[in-house]
Amino acid sequence: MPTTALALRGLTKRFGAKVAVGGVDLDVPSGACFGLVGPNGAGKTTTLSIASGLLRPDAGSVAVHGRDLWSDLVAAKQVLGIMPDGARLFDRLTGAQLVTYAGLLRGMDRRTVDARRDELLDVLGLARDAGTLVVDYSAGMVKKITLASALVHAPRVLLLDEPFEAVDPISAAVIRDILERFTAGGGTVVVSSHVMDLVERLCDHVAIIADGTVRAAGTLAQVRGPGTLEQRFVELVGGMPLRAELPWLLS
Amino acid sequence: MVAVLIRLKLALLANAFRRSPWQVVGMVLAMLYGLGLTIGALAAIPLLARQDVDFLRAYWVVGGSMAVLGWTIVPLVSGGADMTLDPRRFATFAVRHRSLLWGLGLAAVVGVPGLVTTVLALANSFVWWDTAPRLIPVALICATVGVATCVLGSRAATVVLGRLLSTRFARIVMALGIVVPLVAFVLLVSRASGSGPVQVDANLLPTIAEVLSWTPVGAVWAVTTEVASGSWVVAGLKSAIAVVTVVTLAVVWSRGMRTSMETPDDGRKGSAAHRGLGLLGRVRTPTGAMVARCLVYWFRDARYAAGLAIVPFIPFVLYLASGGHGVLMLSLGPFVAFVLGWAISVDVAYDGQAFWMQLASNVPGRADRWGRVLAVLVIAVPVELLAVGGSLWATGRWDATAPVVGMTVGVLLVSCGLASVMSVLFVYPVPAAGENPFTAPTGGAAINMATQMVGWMGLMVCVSPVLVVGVLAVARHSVLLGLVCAALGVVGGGAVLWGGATFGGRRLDLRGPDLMAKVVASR
Repeated sequence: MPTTALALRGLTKRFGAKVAVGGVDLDVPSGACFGLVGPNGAGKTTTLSIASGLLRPDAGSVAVHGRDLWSDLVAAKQVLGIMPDGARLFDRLTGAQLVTYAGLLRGMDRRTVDARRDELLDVLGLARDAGTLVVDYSAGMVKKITLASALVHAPRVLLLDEPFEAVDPISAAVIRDILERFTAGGGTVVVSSHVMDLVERLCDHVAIIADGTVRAAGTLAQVRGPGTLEQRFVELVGGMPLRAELPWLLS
Repeated sequence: MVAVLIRLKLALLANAFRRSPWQVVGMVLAMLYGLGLTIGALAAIPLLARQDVDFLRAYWVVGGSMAVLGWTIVPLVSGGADMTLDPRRFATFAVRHRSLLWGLGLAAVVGVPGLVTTVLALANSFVWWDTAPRLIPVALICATVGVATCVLGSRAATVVLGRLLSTRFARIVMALGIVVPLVAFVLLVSRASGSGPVQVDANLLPTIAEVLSWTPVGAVWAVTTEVASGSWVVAGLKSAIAVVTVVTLAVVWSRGMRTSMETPDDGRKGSAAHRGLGLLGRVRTPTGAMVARCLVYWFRDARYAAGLAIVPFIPFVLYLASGGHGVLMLSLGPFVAFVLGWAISVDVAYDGQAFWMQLASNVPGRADRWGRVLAVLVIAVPVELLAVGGSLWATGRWDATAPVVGMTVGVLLVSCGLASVMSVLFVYPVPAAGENPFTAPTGGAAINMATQMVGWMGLMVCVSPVLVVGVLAVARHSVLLGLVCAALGVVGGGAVLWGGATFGGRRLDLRGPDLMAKVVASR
């Protein structure tokens, strides 16, 4: 009997007049790899920010393993591992310093931090660049070091916003492998992406979000139906413009 | 192109208003200040017209030099150079270099400081209306060149120094920049006065003006009066200095701009690998991690380093301002304490969006606040030992040790305490790490000013008891008052610091996500 790892109820958030998220309900079962897909500006990042305790919602609640996140941030955050999209890091630290810092901030003891950091850097292929300042990292390396910082305290629920963007194929395979083993061990992963193929390969559950509301959610098979996820996505979110004209670009 | 850029600047200023009412408040304050300054100076013109040429020269040269220095140095001190139109943003467009230079130069005059400077410079030319109208064209030309010096000075300083500082090479330069002036200053004082009170000629202003009028900052402002008094050779020499200055600044700016456009992402110039974890390798607690991270930033982040770079200028300013009364030098310690302690009032804004990591990792607010405070204290203690020791030695007032130490400790602790509260309440736009530390994001200077004023008022209220007692103790050579001041500084300052850190920490615990939202919104 799988329990619910993450339950979102009626999440609403507006920025001025714009409704970023308008009443999102989602249930992420324990041990699932949950894909959150949607077009640009659909509210994926806002939803994940609220679910990770970084952004206070106007209304609605988030429960992490049954505990209400926003009434007890400290307890809930201990089981969360977070990787915001395009997150700025303390990039004047070296890669190794950053992961150490993330661990120590969480009050972990020194020896565990040191051991896990070295292991993570090694697995993610960053060992050789451990002493390089994060500001000098490439975009893909930044993703990997953010992931390492999110994993160092051994969370039970991972919230990853666009984890594969700008990551090279080999590192992507490594990350996928880590995530698969993580879910096999009972951990829960939520990833957002707009790369449908990747979500289809990696996730067993998926939700399609557009204009701040959930259009479809469930297991991958339930959501995509007979076709591919991409077909279903285009169907739900609305078609593309018929034809772009721009005749002057063609001459 | 020039018209397009000026219109762009106006549009950007107008759009800045739409984002936040604070922008409007700040802009109105800036305008009122500018207006006050302008009216005051314009009202003085009829009076000036009746003065002799020597007085006019001193007035203009000192005033004009202050304008040039202000334009050049203020961005370095306040982080407020208006870089609304950062040349790097034009790198992707096919704009001719020459028209970009003209456009950006003229657009820099659009804005309160630019208008005030221009109006005052031009208006002063009409001093000759009754006495020597034929000098007015000369004066107008000089005024124009003077304004050009101001603008070019600010642009050149921002481009060149900013570039220098956003490299990590900056640390060494910074260290030298701090040590060399200090040593030079100490030598200067010791040669001038041995260990006695600092003496300065009472007839200071004309002497300073005479010296300044031979330097690049002041030459242009002296030319008209030299012509008026018939010293053609001197006038010629000074105009030559002025022209060479303007041309040099233009070339420096032009070159700097070209470099910054051709290699736009400075601050990312691969660096040698850092072996080991540095300070972070030795700490064990969240607070320790905060201290270590903050200290790394104090030395590796140009924005903090730029703050440290102000410190050596303070004794110079005090030396000039004290005009013969060396006692003023005793305020060096408290001044430095203010600059350092207050620096962490923008700490969360400087973290910027990287602040999410702290939020995500449940750091107790207390650990965050004390971590930042301890980091700044680690830096402040040795600097203050030098500053306080140096100022006591330069003035020969070793008897004032207790009050000076009391005031310094008081100001340092109170600044840290209030800054700990400020940085969780107010977040305003600051340059991001790696950006030119001497730039202010669009309209940032205005909000910056309004918030800082609130903070400074609070600070003044909190430190006034210790300062009043301290000043009395120094003035009356009172041992008892000195001891009272020292006790007040340590105990009172400590209390404010403890209160500020506790309040700030609790506020972080409760409203962390809301602070994060402000940080995101201020970008």
